[in-house]
Order: sequence, then structure tokens, then C-alpha cells
Amino acid sequence: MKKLIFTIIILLVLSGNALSQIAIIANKTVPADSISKVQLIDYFSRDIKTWDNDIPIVIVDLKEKGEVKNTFYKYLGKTSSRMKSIWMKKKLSGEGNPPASLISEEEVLKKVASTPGAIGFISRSKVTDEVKILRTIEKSSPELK
Amino acid sequence: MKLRNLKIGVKQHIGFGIILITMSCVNIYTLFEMRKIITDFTEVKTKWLPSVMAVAELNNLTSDLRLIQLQHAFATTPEGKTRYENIMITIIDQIIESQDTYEPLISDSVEQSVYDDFEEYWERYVELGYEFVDFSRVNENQKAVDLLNAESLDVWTSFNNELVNLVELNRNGSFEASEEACLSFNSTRNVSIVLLVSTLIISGIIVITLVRHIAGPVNQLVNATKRVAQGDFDLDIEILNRDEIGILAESFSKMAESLGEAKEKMEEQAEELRTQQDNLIINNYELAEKNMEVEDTLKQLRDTQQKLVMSEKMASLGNLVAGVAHEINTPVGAVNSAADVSNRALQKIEKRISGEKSMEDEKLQKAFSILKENNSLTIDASKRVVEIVRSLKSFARLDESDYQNADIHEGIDSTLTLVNYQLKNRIEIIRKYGSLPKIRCFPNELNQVFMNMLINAYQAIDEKGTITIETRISDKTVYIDISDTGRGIDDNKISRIFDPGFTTKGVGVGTGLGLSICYNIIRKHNGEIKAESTLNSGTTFTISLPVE
Repeated sequence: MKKLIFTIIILLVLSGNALSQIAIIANKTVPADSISKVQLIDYFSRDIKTWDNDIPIVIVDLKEKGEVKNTFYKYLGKTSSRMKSIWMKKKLSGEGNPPASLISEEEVLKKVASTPGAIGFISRSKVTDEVKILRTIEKSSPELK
Repeated sequence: MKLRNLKIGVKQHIGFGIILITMSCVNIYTLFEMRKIITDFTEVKTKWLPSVMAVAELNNLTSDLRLIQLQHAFATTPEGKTRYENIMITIIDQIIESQDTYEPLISDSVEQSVYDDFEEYWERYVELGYEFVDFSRVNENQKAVDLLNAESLDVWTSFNNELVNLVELNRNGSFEASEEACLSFNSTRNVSIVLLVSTLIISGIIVITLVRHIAGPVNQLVNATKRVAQGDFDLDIEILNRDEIGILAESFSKMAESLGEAKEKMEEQAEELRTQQDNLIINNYELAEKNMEVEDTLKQLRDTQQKLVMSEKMASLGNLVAGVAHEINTPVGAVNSAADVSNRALQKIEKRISGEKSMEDEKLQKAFSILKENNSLTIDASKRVVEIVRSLKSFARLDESDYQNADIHEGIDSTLTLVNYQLKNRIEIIRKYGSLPKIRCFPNELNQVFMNMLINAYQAIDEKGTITIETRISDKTVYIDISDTGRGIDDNKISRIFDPGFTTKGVGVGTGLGLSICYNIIRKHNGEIKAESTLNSGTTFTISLPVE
């Protein structure tokens, strides 16, 4: 009986943690097991285009507005619109098209899992074994956009 | 503790301290208010103006971007498109720069929400831009322009509106801040002026008070000093303050008082000294007077002594003379009457025996004549004795010692009778009597004088000589000159012969009182006695007596 209560509490705590986090996920072909903030900015703004094993970095953006997207861009220190401007510059200068922007986290997960060298962000709770987690980010306060 | 009791230094410190504090307060207030103004202006400068400029820049840049997009669409050559793409990159860089400038300046949630709306539209516009570039690059110009004129235009208009709103917001903020700064400045200026004026007034009051507290008493003290210098020690300094000047004034007042007292004391002492000096002079004078009195008294004493001695002498002499006269008169009377009886008996015997034979007896006749002669001698002698006794009684005047009219000649004669035995045959007496009236006198005292004169005269004559007695009257004054032919008196001694105790005779011969007593007696009769002398030829004493 005591063991059951303890387990439930642990699970609740863990699930609580999982609910309040987002995860930077990557395709299993990605050689890195973790990623720093600077690297994240470099990859997302497309200043660096390949992984260490020369697999091209494929950015998967989340189109759906909400907590997850806000938390991620806040973590980067750049707004979504700023990132779009940067991608526009890259497109105009011929450095490549803007990343795909997918409507939901599930689509992002599926795309990352299926595309070699892909990297994206979804809620920690929605991560599956198909992808690997490079970093988890604590969600910011819910009131923040 | 009252303000006036404080030291000058403390007063000054307090005064200037208050001024300093007041001015400091004014300055601090002004600085504080200035800081507020500066904050306001800084806000305008660093927030509102850059915000307005950044937003305006965003507005311009987005318009430019749209224009360049259109030109890109109409560009026909790949080079032309690339050129416009580069321009677009530059514009987007500038937009990012303006956003970077503006975002930190967002001050409130209203502005933030407006900006968020702008960003949303702007993000959408960029997304549409991707499609536009794709169309334009492949020369699908119509699609590209349509895109720009359709949704893209709406989005553009929307974020342009948001930008206009932002400009409006910031411009209002700028105006408000400026206005606030102006208001702050005005109020600060007004309050500063009021405070400055107040400070000036307070400072003025403090300075005037200090000056009054310091200069007032100092002036008072200066006046007091002048007065003291002029010798007015009766100061009435009103000591208001207990500071250094007050203490000085008090000390000065005390000093002046002490000076005044000292001066008064000195004057008193001087006065006392003067009085004492006067007294001393008076005392000296009195002393001299007393001295004179004492001398007079001494003289009187001596005179009295002489008189006493004389009167004692005279009394003794009188008694002696009275006794002797009485004793002599009785036997002389007996002798006289016996001689008279004997004479008459002898005459009867002579009558009876005359013619008788026995009378012829020579021896009897001789005895008879001797008897007659002796009898006559006895009678003469007894007469003479009677005469001498009478003279003695006359000289002594035992019965008439009072002040009375007396005959001078009678006095001289009776005196001569008394001294006659001493003159003997050695000295001749020459009388040159004038006609004199009787004069009022003490006859016995005058006789004493004559006696003295005569004794001196015959003592001055060593062998034979004459004593001349001359009397005369002139101007109701009787003059009696008694001259001798004796040794005379030295000129240096003649002036002292009437001094008591002076004598030229040997010790034991004279008392030295004789002439001085004579002098006193003559003075008593208001007369004078003088001596003239020529050494070895004689001396003349002149006595002058008034008739009345």
C-alpha cells in the first residue's frame, strides 16, 4: 500500500516535470547528444548548415502559436518574426529556403523522426523513442506569450 | 540657555550654520528637482525620441521594402532581381536594427501589445514575402504583384497602422515628458526663487541679529571706554549678553567702578591729607602760640617768683623794721626823755650854782661842760635814732602799701637816709630836685627801685665819686636821672642789664635780679627805665613815670 502511494507521488512529480518542459529533439542520425544555446541559435538562424558528420541540418519550425513556441523563442532570445526576417535574408542571398513550419507538435515529431539531420522542438511529454532529446527547457510562466 | 548668553564664536557658528543649512536645503531641493527635470528630459531623449525615430524608421523601411518588392517583380533581368534582392537584404537588416533599437525602449504593456500586433503582422508579411520571392524569381510577375496587392497589402496596411499607433503613442509620451519637464522646471524655478528670497531674508536677519549682538555691545563698550577716558567712572553699562563682549563689558564696568572708587578714595585721602595739613599748620600755630604762652607764663612765673621773693623780703623787712622800730622807739623814747630830763636838771643845776664859787672851780666847770655836751649829744643821737626809725618806717611804708599819691622826693630822701651809712664820706650826693607833683604809685615799690639804683651806683664807684640825683617834669612825665661817676658798663652788656639773672658783679655780690625787678616795677607804673653808660666815666639811669 505504502509502495503504491510512493510510486504515484513519484509519477505525479515526474509527470509534472514532464508537463512543464519542452524538449529539443533531433533525428537519430544526428551525431550530437546535446546542444548548447549558442549552437541552437547558430543552427536555427542557419549560420551553420551541417552537423559534424556533414549531414545537413534540417530545421523544423512549429507553426502553432502557444506555450511551446513562446518558450522556445524566448529561450533563443529572438522572436519568431525576427527569425523569419533572418530566414528571408538567407533566402534572398541564396543561402537556402526557410525551414518547414508545421502546424502541430505531432507533425513536428513525425517530421523530425523521419528526416535525417532534422532538429525541432515539442513538449517534453510528447517525445517518443523515435527521436532523441538534445536538451530540455523549463517552460516559462504560462502568462507569457 | 539663551542666545545672548552664548559666546560670539558659538553665535557665529549657529548663525552661519543656519544660513549654510538653509542654503544647502535650497540647493539640495533645486538639485533634486533638476534631477527630476533631467530625468524627464533624459526620458524624452533616450526613450521617446529614439522610439519615435525607430518607429518612423520602421515605417519608412517597410514602405521601402514593399516598393523594392514591386520593383523586384517588375525587374526583367536576373541581375536586376539580384540587385533588388540585395537592397531588400539591406532594408531587412535596417529593419532588424530598428527593431533592436526600439524593443528595449518599450515602456508599458499598451505599447508592448501594439508592438506585438505589429510583429505578428510583420511575421506574416515576411512569410508572404517568401512566396513573393519564389514567384518573382521565376518571372511569374503577375502572381507576385497579385500577392503583394492582395493579402500582403492587407498585412502591410495593418502593421503600418500599428506603426502609426506606436508613433502616436511615443510622440504623446514625448510631449507629456517634455511638458512634465517644463512644469517641473517652472515649479522648481518658482520654488527656488521663493527659497532663495527666503534664504536671503533669513541670512539678512541672522547677519543683522549677529551684528546687533556683537557690534551693539562693542559700540556701547567703546562709548563707555571714551567716557572712562574722560574721567567719568559712573558707568551704567547695560549688559545684555553673556558672551565675550558681555563679560568684557562687565569686567570693564567693574574696573571703571574700582577706578572710580579708587579715585574717590584718593580724593578722600587727599582731602584728609589736606585737612591734616591744615590741622598741622593750625597745630603748629597753636603750638607756637602755646609756646609763647608757656614763655609768657614762664616769664610771669619768674616775675611772680621775684615778686614773691621781694614781697617775702619786704614782708620780713617790714616785720623786722616794725619790730626794731617799736623796740628802738621805746628805749630811744626813754633815752630821749631821760636826756631831756637830764638837760633840764642840768640847766637847773647850772642856774643854781652859777655865780657860786664852786663854779669857778675849773675842773667842775670842765665836767659840767662835758656833761652838757654829752647830754646834747645824747639828745642829738636819740633824735637821729628817731629820724632813722622814721625813715625806716617810711621806706618800708608798712602802713601805706596801696596805690596812692606820693611824693617822689620823700621816697628818694628816705632811701638815701637808709643807704647814707654806706656812702660815708667816700661819695658825695648831689641833689638837683625840680618841682614835682605827687604821682600815683606804689611808693614802697618805687623806694625799692631807688634803693637798687643807689646801691648799684655806689657799688660802681671804687674810691671817691659823686652820685647826682636830678628830677624834672616834662609833658606830664616825671624824669629821675641817677648818675654816678663809676666804672661804667660795656656796650655789649648794657643791652642785657635788665634781663633776669644777668649780673656783672661777682658771685655772691648780686643776685642778678635787681635791675630786672626794677624794670618790672617801672613797667607796672607804665613808665620806662633806660641806662646810658661810658666806660670808666660813669652810668646814668633815667626813670620816666607818667604823672597820671
